[in-house]
Amino acid sequence: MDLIMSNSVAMILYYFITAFFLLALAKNFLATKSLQEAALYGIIMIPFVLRLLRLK
Amino acid sequence: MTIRTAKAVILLIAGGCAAVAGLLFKEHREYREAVVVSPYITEVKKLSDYSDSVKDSVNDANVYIFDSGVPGGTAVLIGGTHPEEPVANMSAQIFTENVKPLQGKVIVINRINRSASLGTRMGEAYPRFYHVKTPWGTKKWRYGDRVASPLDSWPDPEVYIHYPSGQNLAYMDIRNANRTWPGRPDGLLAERTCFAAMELIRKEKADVVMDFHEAELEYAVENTIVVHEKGQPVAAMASMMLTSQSFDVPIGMEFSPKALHGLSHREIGDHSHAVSYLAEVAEPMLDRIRGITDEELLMSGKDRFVMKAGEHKLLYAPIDENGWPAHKRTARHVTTMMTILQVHNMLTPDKAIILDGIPSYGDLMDNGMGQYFADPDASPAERVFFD
Repeated sequence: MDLIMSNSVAMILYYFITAFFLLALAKNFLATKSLQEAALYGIIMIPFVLRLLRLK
Repeated sequence: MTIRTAKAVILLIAGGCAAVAGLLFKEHREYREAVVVSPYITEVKKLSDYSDSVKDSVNDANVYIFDSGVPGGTAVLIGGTHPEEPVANMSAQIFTENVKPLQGKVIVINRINRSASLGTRMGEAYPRFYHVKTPWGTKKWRYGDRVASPLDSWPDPEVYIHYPSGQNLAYMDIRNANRTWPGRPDGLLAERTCFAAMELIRKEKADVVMDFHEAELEYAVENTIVVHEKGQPVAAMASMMLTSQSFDVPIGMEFSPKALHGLSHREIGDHSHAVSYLAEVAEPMLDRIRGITDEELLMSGKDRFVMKAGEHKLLYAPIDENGWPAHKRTARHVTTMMTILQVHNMLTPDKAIILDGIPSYGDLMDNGMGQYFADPDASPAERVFFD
Protein backbone atom coordinates (compact mmCIF):
# COMPACT_ATOMS: atom_id res chain seq x y z
CA MET A 1 0.00 0.00 0.00
CA ASP A 2 1.53 3.36 -0.94
CA LEU A 3 1.94 6.33 1.40
CA ILE A 4 -1.03 8.33 0.06
CA MET A 5 -3.38 5.35 0.37
CA SER A 6 -2.18 4.38 3.85
CA ASN A 7 -2.49 7.97 5.06
CA SER A 8 -5.98 8.24 3.60
CA VAL A 9 -7.01 5.02 5.34
CA ALA A 10 -5.53 6.30 8.63
CA MET A 11 -7.41 9.59 8.19
CA ILE A 12 -10.70 7.75 7.68
CA LEU A 13 -9.98 5.63 10.76
CA TYR A 14 -9.46 8.85 12.73
CA TYR A 15 -13.00 9.89 11.81
CA PHE A 16 -14.29 6.57 13.14
CA ILE A 17 -12.31 7.13 16.35
CA THR A 18 -13.78 10.64 16.60
CA ALA A 19 -17.29 9.27 16.09
CA PHE A 20 -16.64 6.55 18.67
CA PHE A 21 -15.56 9.06 21.33
CA LEU A 22 -18.43 11.39 20.44
CA LEU A 23 -20.89 8.52 20.97
CA ALA A 24 -19.19 7.60 24.25
CA LEU A 25 -19.44 11.23 25.41
CA ALA A 26 -23.09 11.39 24.37
CA LYS A 27 -23.82 8.15 26.26
CA ASN A 28 -22.14 9.52 29.40
CA PHE A 29 -23.97 12.80 28.95
CA LEU A 30 -27.30 10.99 28.91
CA ALA A 31 -26.37 8.71 31.84
CA THR A 32 -24.97 11.23 34.29
CA LYS A 33 -27.07 12.64 37.11
CA SER A 34 -24.57 15.44 37.82
CA LEU A 35 -25.25 18.86 36.30
CA GLN A 36 -21.55 19.74 36.38
CA GLU A 37 -20.58 16.56 34.51
CA ALA A 38 -23.34 17.12 31.96
CA ALA A 39 -22.04 20.63 31.29
CA LEU A 40 -18.51 19.25 30.96
CA TYR A 41 -19.58 16.55 28.47
CA GLY A 42 -21.51 19.18 26.50
CA ILE A 43 -18.41 21.35 26.13
CA ILE A 44 -16.11 18.42 25.32
CA MET A 45 -18.40 17.23 22.52
CA ILE A 46 -18.02 20.52 20.55
CA PRO A 47 -14.56 19.85 18.98
CA PHE A 48 -15.56 16.27 18.16
CA VAL A 49 -18.63 17.53 16.28
CA LEU A 50 -16.57 20.17 14.43
CA ARG A 51 -13.98 17.58 13.44
CA LEU A 52 -16.58 15.10 12.22
CA LEU A 53 -18.13 17.83 10.09
CA ARG A 54 -14.64 18.69 8.74
CA LEU A 55 -14.90 22.28 9.92
CA LYS A 56 -11.81 22.40 12.18
CA MET B 1 -35.39 22.57 37.10
CA THR B 2 -35.09 18.82 36.51
CA ILE B 3 -31.79 17.27 35.36
CA ARG B 4 -33.47 16.43 32.05
CA THR B 5 -34.38 20.09 31.43
CA ALA B 6 -30.91 21.21 32.50
CA LYS B 7 -29.33 18.77 30.02
CA ALA B 8 -31.55 20.09 27.25
CA VAL B 9 -30.39 23.64 28.05
CA ILE B 10 -26.73 22.50 28.09
CA LEU B 11 -27.18 20.78 24.72
CA LEU B 12 -28.78 23.90 23.29
CA ILE B 13 -25.92 26.13 24.51
CA ALA B 14 -23.18 23.69 23.40
CA GLY B 15 -24.94 23.15 20.06
CA GLY B 16 -25.26 26.91 19.61
CA CYS B 17 -21.54 27.38 20.31
CA ALA B 18 -20.67 24.58 17.86
CA ALA B 19 -22.95 26.12 15.23
CA VAL B 20 -21.49 29.63 15.58
CA ALA B 21 -17.90 28.34 15.62
CA GLY B 22 -18.67 26.01 12.73
CA LEU B 23 -20.12 28.80 10.61
CA LEU B 24 -17.09 31.02 11.28
CA PHE B 25 -14.67 28.20 10.38
CA LYS B 26 -16.74 27.34 7.28
CA GLU B 27 -16.77 30.96 6.10
CA HIS B 28 -12.98 31.10 6.47
CA ARG B 29 -12.41 27.78 4.72
CA GLU B 30 -14.69 28.61 1.79
CA TYR B 31 -13.76 32.27 1.23
CA ARG B 32 -12.38 32.81 -2.26
CA GLU B 33 -9.78 35.54 -2.78
CA ALA B 34 -10.29 37.54 -5.97
CA VAL B 35 -7.25 38.25 -8.12
CA VAL B 36 -7.50 40.68 -11.04
CA VAL B 37 -4.61 39.70 -13.27
CA SER B 38 -2.72 42.37 -15.16
CA PRO B 39 -3.84 42.98 -18.77
CA TYR B 40 -0.53 41.44 -19.86
CA ILE B 41 -1.45 37.94 -18.67
CA THR B 42 -0.54 35.23 -21.17
CA GLU B 43 -2.08 32.20 -19.54
CA VAL B 44 -3.43 30.97 -16.23
CA LYS B 45 -2.58 27.35 -15.52
CA LYS B 46 -3.01 25.08 -12.55
CA LEU B 47 -0.17 23.43 -10.68
CA SER B 48 -1.64 20.10 -11.78
CA ASP B 49 -0.84 21.05 -15.39
CA TYR B 50 2.78 20.35 -14.43
CA SER B 51 2.21 17.26 -12.31
CA ASP B 52 -0.77 15.04 -11.53
CA SER B 53 0.49 14.82 -7.95
CA VAL B 54 -1.79 17.70 -6.87
CA LYS B 55 -4.68 17.05 -9.25
CA ASP B 56 -8.08 17.43 -7.54
CA SER B 57 -6.36 18.44 -4.30
CA VAL B 58 -6.90 21.63 -2.30
CA ASN B 59 -3.35 22.70 -3.21
CA ASP B 60 -3.89 22.73 -6.97
CA ALA B 61 -2.97 26.43 -7.07
CA ASN B 62 -3.40 28.93 -9.87
CA VAL B 63 -0.22 29.60 -11.86
CA TYR B 64 -0.20 33.05 -13.49
CA ILE B 65 2.08 33.29 -16.53
CA PHE B 66 3.21 36.60 -18.06
CA ASP B 67 5.33 36.11 -21.18
CA SER B 68 6.74 39.15 -22.97
CA GLY B 69 7.36 37.17 -26.14
CA VAL B 70 10.88 38.62 -26.16
CA PRO B 71 13.56 35.98 -25.55
CA GLY B 72 15.08 36.20 -22.10
CA GLY B 73 15.01 34.46 -18.76
CA THR B 74 12.18 33.12 -16.62
CA ALA B 75 11.43 34.10 -13.03
CA VAL B 76 9.08 32.22 -10.70
CA LEU B 77 7.61 34.09 -7.72
CA ILE B 78 6.12 32.07 -4.88
CA GLY B 79 3.75 33.54 -2.31
CA GLY B 80 1.72 31.89 0.40
CA THR B 81 4.24 29.26 1.48
CA HIS B 82 3.36 30.16 5.07
CA PRO B 83 -0.06 31.87 5.07
CA GLU B 84 0.52 33.31 8.55
CA GLU B 85 3.03 35.56 6.74
CA PRO B 86 0.53 37.60 4.71
CA VAL B 87 2.94 39.99 3.06
CA ALA B 88 4.32 37.04 1.11
CA ASN B 89 1.13 36.44 -0.85
CA MET B 90 0.32 40.16 -1.07
CA SER B 91 3.77 40.85 -2.57
CA ALA B 92 3.24 38.07 -5.11
CA GLN B 93 -0.20 39.50 -5.90
CA ILE B 94 1.29 42.98 -6.50
CA PHE B 95 3.14 41.33 -9.38
CA THR B 96 0.11 39.33 -10.55
CA GLU B 97 -2.08 42.42 -10.75
CA ASN B 98 0.43 44.97 -12.10
CA VAL B 99 3.25 43.36 -14.05
CA LYS B 100 4.01 44.18 -17.66
CA PRO B 101 6.84 41.96 -18.90
CA LEU B 102 9.13 43.66 -21.42
CA GLN B 103 11.62 40.81 -21.78
CA GLY B 104 11.53 37.21 -20.63
CA LYS B 105 8.78 35.58 -18.63
CA VAL B 106 7.48 35.82 -15.09
CA ILE B 107 5.35 33.13 -13.43
CA VAL B 108 3.54 33.85 -10.16
CA ILE B 109 1.89 31.56 -7.63
CA ASN B 110 0.09 33.67 -5.02
CA ARG B 111 -0.92 30.76 -2.77
CA ILE B 112 1.31 27.72 -3.05
CA ASN B 113 0.09 26.07 0.17
CA ARG B 114 -3.58 26.91 -0.20
CA SER B 115 -4.62 24.38 2.43
CA ALA B 116 -2.64 26.27 5.07
CA SER B 117 -4.59 29.43 4.26
CA LEU B 118 -7.96 27.79 4.99
CA GLY B 119 -7.57 27.77 8.76
CA THR B 120 -5.51 29.64 11.32
CA ARG B 121 -3.04 28.19 13.81
CA MET B 122 -4.86 26.39 16.61
CA GLY B 123 -4.68 27.97 20.05
CA GLU B 124 -3.31 31.32 18.84
CA ALA B 125 -6.56 33.31 18.52
CA TYR B 126 -5.47 34.64 15.14
CA PRO B 127 -7.89 36.82 13.13
CA ARG B 128 -9.52 34.93 10.26
CA PHE B 129 -9.18 37.68 7.68
CA TYR B 130 -7.18 40.81 7.03
CA HIS B 131 -8.10 43.81 4.91
CA VAL B 132 -6.47 46.56 2.86
CA LYS B 133 -8.19 49.85 2.02
CA THR B 134 -8.24 50.61 -1.70
CA PRO B 135 -9.66 53.52 -3.73
CA TRP B 136 -12.67 51.30 -4.61
CA GLY B 137 -13.35 49.73 -1.18
CA THR B 138 -11.77 47.16 1.08
CA LYS B 139 -9.91 44.12 -0.18
CA LYS B 140 -10.00 41.00 1.97
CA TRP B 141 -7.67 38.01 2.32
CA ARG B 142 -7.70 34.84 4.42
CA TYR B 143 -5.20 34.76 7.25
CA GLY B 144 -3.74 31.31 7.71
CA ASP B 145 -1.46 28.86 9.40
CA ARG B 146 2.18 27.94 8.85
CA VAL B 147 1.37 24.40 7.74
CA ALA B 148 -1.36 22.66 5.72
CA SER B 149 -4.62 22.00 7.49
CA PRO B 150 -4.99 18.63 9.28
CA LEU B 151 -8.32 18.41 7.45
CA ASP B 152 -6.34 17.96 4.23
CA SER B 153 -3.22 16.11 5.42
CA TRP B 154 -3.53 13.83 8.40
CA PRO B 155 -2.12 12.04 10.33
CA ASP B 156 1.44 13.30 10.67
CA PRO B 157 4.25 10.79 11.18
CA GLU B 158 5.95 10.52 14.59
CA VAL B 159 9.09 11.90 12.95
CA TYR B 160 9.09 13.44 9.50
CA ILE B 161 11.89 11.96 7.41
CA HIS B 162 12.67 14.35 4.59
CA TYR B 163 12.84 12.93 1.08
CA PRO B 164 15.37 12.43 -0.47
CA SER B 165 17.95 13.46 2.17
CA GLY B 166 16.63 11.26 4.99
CA GLN B 167 17.08 14.13 7.45
CA ASN B 168 14.80 13.95 10.51
CA LEU B 169 12.51 16.93 11.01
CA ALA B 170 9.65 17.80 13.37
CA TYR B 171 6.46 15.82 12.72
CA MET B 172 4.32 18.82 11.68
CA ASP B 173 6.86 19.89 9.06
CA ILE B 174 5.48 17.21 6.74
CA ARG B 175 2.69 19.79 6.22
CA ASN B 176 5.13 22.71 5.86
CA ALA B 177 5.67 23.78 2.25
CA ASN B 178 9.10 25.11 3.15
CA ARG B 179 10.36 21.83 4.59
CA THR B 180 9.15 19.49 1.86
CA TRP B 181 11.16 20.62 -1.18
CA PRO B 182 11.93 19.07 -3.64
CA GLY B 183 8.94 16.90 -2.82
CA ARG B 184 7.84 13.58 -4.25
CA PRO B 185 4.84 12.60 -6.37
CA ASP B 186 3.69 9.87 -3.98
CA GLY B 187 4.22 11.74 -0.70
CA LEU B 188 1.80 13.63 1.53
CA LEU B 189 0.09 16.86 0.46
CA ALA B 190 2.93 19.37 1.02
CA GLU B 191 5.47 16.98 -0.53
CA ARG B 192 3.25 16.55 -3.60
CA THR B 193 2.74 20.34 -3.81
CA CYS B 194 6.48 21.02 -3.77
CA PHE B 195 7.05 18.25 -6.32
CA ALA B 196 4.51 19.85 -8.67
CA ALA B 197 6.16 23.25 -8.18
CA MET B 198 9.57 21.67 -8.90
CA GLU B 199 8.13 20.22 -12.11
CA LEU B 200 6.90 23.72 -13.03
CA ILE B 201 10.37 25.17 -12.34
CA ARG B 202 12.06 22.44 -14.40
CA LYS B 203 9.59 22.41 -17.30
CA GLU B 204 9.49 26.21 -17.58
CA LYS B 205 13.33 26.26 -17.36
CA ALA B 206 13.19 28.91 -14.64
CA ASP B 207 16.36 30.92 -14.07
CA VAL B 208 15.31 32.71 -10.89
CA VAL B 209 12.94 31.53 -8.14
CA MET B 210 11.89 33.78 -5.26
CA ASP B 211 10.04 32.51 -2.19
CA PHE B 212 8.59 35.35 -0.07
CA HIS B 213 8.42 35.01 3.75
CA GLU B 214 8.14 36.94 7.00
CA ALA B 215 9.78 36.22 10.34
CA GLU B 216 9.46 37.16 14.00
CA LEU B 217 11.94 39.74 15.28
CA GLU B 218 13.16 37.21 17.85
CA TYR B 219 14.41 34.99 14.99
CA ALA B 220 17.94 35.40 13.69
CA VAL B 221 17.13 34.94 9.99
CA GLU B 222 15.53 38.34 9.59
CA ASN B 223 15.43 41.16 7.02
CA THR B 224 17.62 39.17 4.71
CA ILE B 225 17.94 37.33 1.42
CA VAL B 226 18.78 33.64 1.88
CA VAL B 227 20.35 32.37 -1.29
CA HIS B 228 21.65 29.19 -2.87
CA GLU B 229 25.38 29.37 -3.60
CA LYS B 230 24.59 29.79 -7.31
CA GLY B 231 23.10 33.22 -6.57
CA GLN B 232 25.51 34.66 -4.04
CA PRO B 233 26.99 37.38 -6.29
CA VAL B 234 23.49 38.59 -7.25
CA ALA B 235 22.16 38.54 -3.68
CA ALA B 236 25.25 40.25 -2.27
CA MET B 237 25.03 43.06 -4.80
CA ALA B 238 21.25 43.36 -4.35
CA SER B 239 21.54 43.61 -0.56
CA MET B 240 24.19 46.33 -0.87
CA MET B 241 22.11 48.30 -3.39
CA LEU B 242 18.93 48.01 -1.32
CA THR B 243 20.66 48.95 1.92
CA SER B 244 22.47 51.94 0.44
CA GLN B 245 19.73 53.26 -1.84
CA SER B 246 16.27 52.21 -0.69
CA PHE B 247 15.74 50.74 2.78
CA ASP B 248 15.95 52.50 6.15
CA VAL B 249 16.63 49.15 7.85
CA PRO B 250 19.42 47.21 6.09
CA ILE B 251 18.74 43.92 4.34
CA GLY B 252 21.40 41.23 4.70
CA MET B 253 22.41 38.21 2.66
CA GLU B 254 22.87 34.70 4.01
CA PHE B 255 24.07 31.49 2.47
CA SER B 256 21.64 28.60 2.27
CA PRO B 257 23.05 25.94 4.63
CA LYS B 258 24.06 22.87 2.63
CA ALA B 259 23.07 20.44 5.39
CA LEU B 260 19.62 21.86 6.13
CA HIS B 261 17.16 20.14 3.83
CA GLY B 262 13.63 20.73 2.66
CA LEU B 263 13.88 24.51 2.29
CA SER B 264 13.24 26.23 -1.03
CA HIS B 265 16.55 28.14 -1.09
CA ARG B 266 18.47 24.84 -0.80
CA GLU B 267 16.46 22.27 -2.72
CA ILE B 268 15.27 24.31 -5.73
CA GLY B 269 18.86 25.29 -6.45
CA ASP B 270 20.04 21.69 -5.97
CA HIS B 271 17.32 20.03 -8.04
CA SER B 272 16.93 22.44 -10.95
CA HIS B 273 18.83 24.83 -13.13
CA ALA B 274 17.25 27.80 -11.26
CA VAL B 275 18.90 30.06 -8.71
CA SER B 276 16.76 30.07 -5.58
CA TYR B 277 16.24 33.04 -3.27
CA LEU B 278 14.14 33.46 -0.13
CA ALA B 279 13.35 36.92 1.27
CA GLU B 280 12.53 37.57 4.93
CA VAL B 281 11.03 40.70 6.50
CA ALA B 282 10.10 41.50 10.11
CA GLU B 283 6.56 40.65 11.24
CA PRO B 284 5.92 41.43 14.95
CA MET B 285 2.67 39.41 14.86
CA LEU B 286 4.78 36.24 14.82
CA ASP B 287 6.74 37.07 17.96
CA ARG B 288 6.00 34.87 20.98
CA ILE B 289 6.11 37.88 23.31
CA ARG B 290 3.51 39.90 21.38
CA GLY B 291 0.49 41.47 23.03
CA ILE B 292 -3.08 41.40 21.70
CA THR B 293 -3.14 39.21 18.59
CA ASP B 294 -5.47 40.94 16.18
CA GLU B 295 -5.69 42.36 12.68
CA GLU B 296 -4.45 45.74 13.94
CA LEU B 297 -1.15 44.15 15.03
CA LEU B 298 -0.92 42.14 11.81
CA MET B 299 -1.30 45.19 9.58
CA SER B 300 0.39 47.94 11.66
CA GLY B 301 3.22 45.79 13.01
CA LYS B 302 3.11 47.86 16.21
CA ASP B 303 3.42 46.09 19.55
CA ARG B 304 4.65 47.57 22.84
CA PHE B 305 5.78 44.21 24.22
CA VAL B 306 7.95 43.54 21.18
CA MET B 307 9.25 47.12 21.46
CA LYS B 308 10.14 46.47 25.11
CA ALA B 309 12.08 43.35 24.06
CA GLY B 310 13.91 45.55 21.57
CA GLU B 311 14.87 47.97 24.36
CA HIS B 312 16.49 45.01 26.11
CA LYS B 313 18.34 44.07 22.90
CA LEU B 314 16.54 40.73 22.60
CA LEU B 315 15.60 41.14 18.94
CA TYR B 316 17.35 40.68 15.60
CA ALA B 317 15.56 43.65 13.98
CA PRO B 318 14.92 47.17 15.18
CA ILE B 319 11.40 48.29 16.08
CA ASP B 320 10.07 51.65 17.25
CA GLU B 321 6.67 53.27 17.70
CA ASN B 322 6.17 53.21 13.92
CA GLY B 323 6.21 49.40 13.94
CA TRP B 324 6.54 47.31 10.78
CA PRO B 325 3.38 48.17 8.78
CA ALA B 326 2.25 45.72 6.10
CA HIS B 327 2.77 48.20 3.25
CA LYS B 328 6.40 48.70 4.30
CA ARG B 329 6.97 44.94 4.53
CA THR B 330 5.40 44.50 1.08
CA ALA B 331 7.44 47.38 -0.33
CA ARG B 332 10.62 45.68 0.87
CA HIS B 333 9.71 42.34 -0.74
CA VAL B 334 8.65 43.84 -4.05
CA THR B 335 11.73 46.06 -4.24
CA THR B 336 14.02 43.19 -3.22
CA MET B 337 12.69 41.08 -6.10
CA MET B 338 13.04 43.91 -8.61
CA THR B 339 16.60 44.63 -7.47
CA ILE B 340 17.57 40.95 -7.69
CA LEU B 341 16.26 40.93 -11.27
CA GLN B 342 18.17 44.14 -12.02
CA VAL B 343 21.45 42.57 -10.87
CA HIS B 344 20.59 39.24 -12.53
CA ASN B 345 20.08 41.12 -15.82
CA MET B 346 23.47 42.83 -15.49
CA LEU B 347 25.29 39.55 -14.89
CA THR B 348 23.37 37.37 -17.38
CA PRO B 349 22.07 39.70 -20.12
CA ASP B 350 21.12 36.77 -22.38
CA LYS B 351 18.67 35.65 -19.66
CA ALA B 352 17.36 39.11 -18.81
CA ILE B 353 13.93 39.47 -17.23
CA ILE B 354 12.68 43.05 -17.53
CA LEU B 355 9.44 43.95 -15.81
CA ASP B 356 7.46 47.18 -15.93
CA GLY B 357 4.38 48.34 -14.03
CA ILE B 358 5.64 47.30 -10.59
CA PRO B 359 5.42 50.06 -7.95
CA SER B 360 8.70 51.24 -6.49
CA TYR B 361 9.59 51.24 -2.78
CA GLY B 362 8.72 54.96 -2.65
CA ASP B 363 5.38 54.39 -4.42
CA LEU B 364 4.32 51.71 -1.94
CA MET B 365 5.54 53.70 1.07
CA ASP B 366 3.78 56.89 -0.11
CA ASN B 367 0.56 55.42 -1.50
CA GLY B 368 0.14 52.21 0.47
CA MET B 369 -0.79 48.92 -1.19
CA GLY B 370 -4.47 49.57 -1.94
CA GLN B 371 -3.66 51.60 -5.06
CA TYR B 372 -2.20 48.51 -6.70
CA PHE B 373 -5.11 46.10 -6.33
CA ALA B 374 -7.95 46.36 -8.85
CA ASP B 375 -11.66 46.09 -8.11
CA PRO B 376 -12.77 42.57 -9.14
CA ASP B 377 -16.40 43.73 -9.52
CA ALA B 378 -15.42 46.47 -11.98
CA SER B 379 -12.91 44.38 -13.94
CA PRO B 380 -13.56 42.23 -17.01
CA ALA B 381 -14.61 38.74 -15.90
CA GLU B 382 -11.89 37.10 -18.01
CA ARG B 383 -9.26 38.81 -15.86
CA VAL B 384 -10.72 37.79 -12.50
CA PHE B 385 -9.49 34.59 -10.88
CA PHE B 386 -9.84 33.16 -7.39
CA ASP B 387 -7.15 31.77 -5.12
